[in-house]
Amino acid sequence: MNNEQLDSQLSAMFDDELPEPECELLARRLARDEGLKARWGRYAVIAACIRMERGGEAAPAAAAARASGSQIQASNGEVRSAGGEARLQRMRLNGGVATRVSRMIAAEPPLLAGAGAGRNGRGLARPAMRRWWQPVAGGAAVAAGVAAAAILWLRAGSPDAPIVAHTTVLASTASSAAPSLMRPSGVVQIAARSANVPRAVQSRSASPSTPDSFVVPPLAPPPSFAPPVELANFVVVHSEYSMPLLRRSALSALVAAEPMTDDAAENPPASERSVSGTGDAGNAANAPHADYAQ
Amino acid sequence: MRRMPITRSSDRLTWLALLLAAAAVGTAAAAAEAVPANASPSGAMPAPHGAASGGTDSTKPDAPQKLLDRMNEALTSLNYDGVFSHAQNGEIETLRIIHRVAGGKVMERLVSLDGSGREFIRTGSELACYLPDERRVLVEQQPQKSLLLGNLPRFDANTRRFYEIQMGQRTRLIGRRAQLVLVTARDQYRYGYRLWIDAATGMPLKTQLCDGRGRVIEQVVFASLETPRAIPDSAFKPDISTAGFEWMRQVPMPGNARAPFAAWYALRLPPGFHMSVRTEQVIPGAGGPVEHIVYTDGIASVSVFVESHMHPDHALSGGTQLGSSSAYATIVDGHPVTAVGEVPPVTVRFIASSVKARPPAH
Repeated sequence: MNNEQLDSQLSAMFDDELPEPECELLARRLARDEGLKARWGRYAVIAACIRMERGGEAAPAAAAARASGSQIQASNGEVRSAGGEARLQRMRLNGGVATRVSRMIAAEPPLLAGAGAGRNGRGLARPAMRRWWQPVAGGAAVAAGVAAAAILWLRAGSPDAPIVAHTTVLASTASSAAPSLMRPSGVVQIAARSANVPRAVQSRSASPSTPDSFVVPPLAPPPSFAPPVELANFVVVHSEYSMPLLRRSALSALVAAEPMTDDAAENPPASERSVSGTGDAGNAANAPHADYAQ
Repeated sequence: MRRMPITRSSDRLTWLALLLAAAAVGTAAAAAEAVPANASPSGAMPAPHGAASGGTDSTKPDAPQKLLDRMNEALTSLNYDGVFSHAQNGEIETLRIIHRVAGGKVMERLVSLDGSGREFIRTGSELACYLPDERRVLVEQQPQKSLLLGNLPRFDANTRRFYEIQMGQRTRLIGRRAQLVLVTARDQYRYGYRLWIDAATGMPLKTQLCDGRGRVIEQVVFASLETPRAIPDSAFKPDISTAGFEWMRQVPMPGNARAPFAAWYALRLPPGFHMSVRTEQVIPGAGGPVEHIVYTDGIASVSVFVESHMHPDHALSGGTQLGSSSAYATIVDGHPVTAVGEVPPVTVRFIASSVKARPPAH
């Protein structure tokens, strides 16, 4: 498969238009291919930006933009840590979409906790956007998820979530949003220290003015399917009490297998899975080409 | 990029060593209980001669059970390094497992060889997950458990009421002599197993998990297996370079956060199950300390998790399956209840649905 095909697959995945089996293949490949991984980082940015641009009216779009902007900030942090400043620089030069992204990164003030969250329902009601944010719908619980949890990651998650994007959101939220979303009785705190998110993470009391903090808009209805995060934690804890053979089996399943729901009613309706608008693929597919043209 | 210092609690390790020792003693004791006076000398490989035809060895009815005990002991106490395929749901994944017990400290590494490249590395009570695709390492401290004996299922008379345990054929697998042990469930509340156990080491070279109709729902087959006397520390380092990775670790809950619990219990249990452990866990994502009750039938076990209160993020509901594990979640008197175990879906549903709070004793 050449780069172009990969790119279009990647973009299709971000727009949730890639059939599930192909997503899986791509995800596997992504795990191995450094170049593809780097592109993926930028895709997260670009895809968010494109969605935002298509967001329509100013108000919801702006709210979404701020949220996305923060998301992008986190994503970029990853890119930077992964590939250094040069890569980011390249992205800045990339005109159009990427320029806008960079501008947002530079200019966007941090979101206030909860601000605009529930109110911009309109922007988020669009399936693509909702999908984009869905992993964090569970709020702190999901964000604070752990090892075990994160393991389910790629193929699990909401059945209709874009596979890789899912982990991005989950991960970036885990480090910065968790403290502010945490309930007072919050039990678990993930402490992460990295160049990317130092302040937000070192203290639970990360104030709203902390540049790195952001809040993900909560979703009105909680998803009806079992979030794999909590379940994975249960499975891991349980495995400690299992016969050794079965313990290994459980952990292998976490590494290897996709959880399946045997009750069809628990899956979101099929209509939720299909993506509205075929324009997404076109836009997204073009963007990375431009990115790589240089 | 700074990293959180990864500290290891020597207390935990000591405790773990104790646990291991106790477990070994426990299984030995369990085996001893079940062994009649005329049984073969302890320590010897329960020689399966006479069982080669595939039938039950009537002269040594406990031989297969002793083999199972030996297998459990091998899995927890031996050093081993093997590559196996894990097949389930039509998907096959190749994994490598390295396990070492040295100086009372358990090291274990489970790597996906052809998937995401993710790894689990267990160091004592600490579990680290390397996620190369996310450039992250997540470190989880297993919460301290207050059990010594009883975390390993034991085969006893009860077990045999619900499973038929037979010797199968002797065969060869990856150049080793192996003895097949058939564990057949007598009802629909548990799975059956076919275990090809290495005569030399007691390690399961091949295992199949079977549903009530004998269909294989999960298979693990070793392609290679070594049991080295020593395994170097370097074997427990991740394959991938973690330079530039972000390290995240779970901060344990302060010790004073213990909440008073109603004693929860399952009003009814599927036949053969009994409670083996009751403890309290801190589980990420749950809204507070979680009461954890383990029920076992001697082979399979089911954990029931009762959360202290509803929390807005709770979204587990209904049944699901993850690998060979089934889970069923429901809400009882405003408390999220989740049952998880390597049993058919009907069993976790049965147990979760019958969980009740014991009225406070006065």
